[in-house]
Amino acid sequence: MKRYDVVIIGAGITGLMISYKLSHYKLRVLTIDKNPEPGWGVSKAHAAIVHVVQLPFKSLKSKLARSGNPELIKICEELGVRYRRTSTLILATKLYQLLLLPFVYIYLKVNLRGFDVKLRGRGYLMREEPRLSKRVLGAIEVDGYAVVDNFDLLYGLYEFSKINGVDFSFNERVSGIEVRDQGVRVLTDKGEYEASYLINAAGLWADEIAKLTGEDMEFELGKGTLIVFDKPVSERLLAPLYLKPDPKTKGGAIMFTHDGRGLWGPNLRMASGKDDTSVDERDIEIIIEKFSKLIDADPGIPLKAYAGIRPIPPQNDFIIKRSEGRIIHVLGTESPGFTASPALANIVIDMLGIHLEEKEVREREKFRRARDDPKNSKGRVICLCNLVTEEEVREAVRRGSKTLQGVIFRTGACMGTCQGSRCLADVLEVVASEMGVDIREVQLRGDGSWIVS
Amino acid sequence: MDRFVIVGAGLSGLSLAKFLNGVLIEKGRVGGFFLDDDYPVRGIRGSRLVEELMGASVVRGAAFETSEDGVYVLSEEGSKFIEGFVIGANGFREKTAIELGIFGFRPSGIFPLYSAWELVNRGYGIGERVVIYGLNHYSLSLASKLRASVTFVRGSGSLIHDEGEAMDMGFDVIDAKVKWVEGRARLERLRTDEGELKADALVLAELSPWNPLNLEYKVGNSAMIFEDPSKIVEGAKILSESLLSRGKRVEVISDVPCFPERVSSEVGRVIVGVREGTKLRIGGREVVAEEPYPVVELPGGDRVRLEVIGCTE
Repeated sequence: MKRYDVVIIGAGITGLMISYKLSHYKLRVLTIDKNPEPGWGVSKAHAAIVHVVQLPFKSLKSKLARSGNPELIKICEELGVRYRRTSTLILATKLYQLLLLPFVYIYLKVNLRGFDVKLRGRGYLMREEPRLSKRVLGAIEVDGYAVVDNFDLLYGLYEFSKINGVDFSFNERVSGIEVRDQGVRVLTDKGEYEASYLINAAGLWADEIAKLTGEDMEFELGKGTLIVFDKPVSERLLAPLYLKPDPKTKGGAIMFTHDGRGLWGPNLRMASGKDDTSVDERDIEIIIEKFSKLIDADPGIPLKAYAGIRPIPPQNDFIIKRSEGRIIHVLGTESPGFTASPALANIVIDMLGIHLEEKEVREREKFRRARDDPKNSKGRVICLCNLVTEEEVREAVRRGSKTLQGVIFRTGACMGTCQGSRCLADVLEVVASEMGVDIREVQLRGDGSWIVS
Repeated sequence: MDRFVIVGAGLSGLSLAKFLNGVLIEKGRVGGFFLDDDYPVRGIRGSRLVEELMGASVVRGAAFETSEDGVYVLSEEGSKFIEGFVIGANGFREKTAIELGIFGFRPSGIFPLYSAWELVNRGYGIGERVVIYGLNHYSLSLASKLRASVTFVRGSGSLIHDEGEAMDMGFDVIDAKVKWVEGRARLERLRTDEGELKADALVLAELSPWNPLNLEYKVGNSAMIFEDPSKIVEGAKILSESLLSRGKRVEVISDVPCFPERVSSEVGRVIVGVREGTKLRIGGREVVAEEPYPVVELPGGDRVRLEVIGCTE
């Protein structure tokens, strides 16, 4: 039986962030995930926004988002992950909202120390964001936001942790947890491990892992849909002003991705189950109806819509708790769990209370993409929309992606305006060639999702 | 600037390069869709037209940025700037599932038409029960190569092929809207407003012109959807004459697709994307389309109004 100092269940943003931080120390760490690749659970389907405003300000998730915000940007820098700094305009479209805007401004200014908050008049808004609707009467601009290449960050954390000694096991499900005097025994469908400490960072499935340790935990399953458009409509994130915020959601916004696509949403409704990632017509209608009022412009071509399921805990706040002395549960890590992840990891590591002896670490080699600097690049371009080269596809496979989806997430191939029309066949052939298999063996996600016969 | 640079070496790009003696830029296979298209339109096969046009000068690589006097191209040799007057010949794009109002899950087995075309032409199967959303020349040509049960969902329909032609080939054709995709790993079935369809592959074949570099001048399917390969060649000829002409530009204001949208007064003709038998009014004059994609003469003036006023059937 293999023995570790720390076993982490879950290779989403929380588990990966803990792995990344622990990989800086002389510890034996194992991270287990039931998915084929890191970040394929809750972390796969959100907006990848580094947030600032999260109400209520006294909540744990709000505090951790504010402290996690600058650290997440720093980690992106360290790992060579692409991101773009921006701000959010909180927009008043009604006269009573405009009249209340100075009070909201003071409230945000007092609570958001360290972040720039400004009142913006109509003239400024129309000049700086010409596509804004004429219904917009004024706004508060909050600085400190960023949009991140989510998959580059997830894979970056994974790669850094791996090259610095963290063991990873994918496609492995935890079936039992036994607490002993000197540690924890973790049983899985592949074997068993001994750990001094166990961290439950299983995201949507953290309630079931908690139950294995005798902890009773129930989540509501919130589903949020996001629509990707072929172009952005603004330079900043655009959010309506809510005077009565919903504790379960920030309400969504008009956003954009790090690589220049428009991103609208999310809405929030309850999911029927943990695998209910379907998007229905009403989701799209609600998002379009809500946000199109904020702009006087064509949003562009809707390329795709996807839904993420988030675990909403009973008090609408993160729960970090210890059980049986050696097990730490991180529960209800819904939005802004992405922004808060470095701060969450710091708390969890503090709670372990183990001696941390630093070691020398190797840097992760940045994933180089032609589209970041095409005039100084070379390569056989496969994906025209996102300028992905054959070498990038091969590199994605060499770094561990064994499915089409993994390669797509790592490279951006098949994610442009043509949605794989012109590149799917080439990408599949290159993936198969690099894996040394027949193209018929390449699957979309590895669970019977065959592509060609 | 004394040369023309054409982005895309499909049938329209090859045609335009021939008429203008231009340089082509192509990242993939020269010939595009029609290279493998043996399904005839009025007795003419696209593959034969491509064969006749082969031999133009081609720069291998992907065009990624334009300026006023040329285009940047990325290839295995690096990046280079190709100087010239740039014209887009990128072909069509398929409308996305969301554009078509198709919701539900996102399993494997959903293919934009061109990706299915490429896979099938390389010898792979895309499924055993294939639903094709959009009946047109391109999807019919794909279906003719499939060794599978095929059901067409008609969509916006074809200007040159009718449903009977598809049914004669043994395909089902239904007039419905696909609303929902079911299946977690692989596509299992589709829900339409007319009932459920068992399927393991869905081909999205409703088409739109594609102009990824936002170029002012486009040709072929990058400008307007053409189902008839001969008309693609004819369209390229009209555009080439217009570009080489010194006549003033006539703008065509049309409620149906027409190509080119701006044409030299000396050339004075455009191709209109309508069915045979469509009645058109052009600047006060009425004409009846005697074939799909008719070429119509324009009256004088800086702006010409073109509208559909009915059909003869």
